[in-house]
Amino acid sequence: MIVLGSPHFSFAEFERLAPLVEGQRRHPDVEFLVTSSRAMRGLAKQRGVLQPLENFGGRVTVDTCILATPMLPESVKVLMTNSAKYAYYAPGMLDTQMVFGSLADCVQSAVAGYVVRDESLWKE
Amino acid sequence: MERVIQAKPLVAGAASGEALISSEPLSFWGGYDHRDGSIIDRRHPLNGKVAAGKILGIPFTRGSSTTTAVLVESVKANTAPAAIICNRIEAFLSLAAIVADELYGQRIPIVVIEPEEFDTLKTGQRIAICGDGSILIEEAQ
Repeated sequence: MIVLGSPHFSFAEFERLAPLVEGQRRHPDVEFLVTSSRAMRGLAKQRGVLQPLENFGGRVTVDTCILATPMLPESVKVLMTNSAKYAYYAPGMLDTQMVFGSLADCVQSAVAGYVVRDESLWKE
Repeated sequence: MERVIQAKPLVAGAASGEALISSEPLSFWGGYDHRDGSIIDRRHPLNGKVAAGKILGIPFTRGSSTTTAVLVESVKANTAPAAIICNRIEAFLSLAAIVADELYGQRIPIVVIEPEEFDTLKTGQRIAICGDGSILIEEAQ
């Protein structure tokens, strides 16, 4: 499962995400969740950057944080995110394994159905 | 052998217990499980240890201000440390201790000592904190 935005995905991130998911579809075994605020989701919809995410098979929840509200299916044990905060706290709070990657890594992994990471980002 | 350190009490009170000490700051939010008083921050040196009823020594808190709410919840659940020793002024923990005292009539002393003195504390020591801020330390045998 991919989780973006913990705690809240910004409008600028919606703008960056849209071209990455455009014309693609997530793997049926991989859930794709974006947590954001009502205002940011509204703005994203208005500016046309929400539709590509919905077409991709992504879900958006608003006005809560995935660490504060139980919303993970019990079956999910491996998560991927680009949120350092989420990656740091989820193992202890949700008892899950964590993969940390870039926004593009998260999208590519969701499409592939397995972890895809551009390791060159982590080299000096 | 017993020695005494004079602390500055931020929230004055008396408590005693076994010391659980780390030089690493801790966020109670996401790092402390108020259900059983265990430390759940997987990257913290005290991960897996239970701080309930102990004299917890951490230099300061880090991260979320919701640390305050987690400490208050743990007081309610009887899973809070008996007292907390820090090495700098700790507004989050002090606020939590004051609110918990107000809500549940249970006071968790929060005291501050100098960093050099903090570095002499060790897990396993018997520590007693007095209302005037003096700390009695019994060295482990």
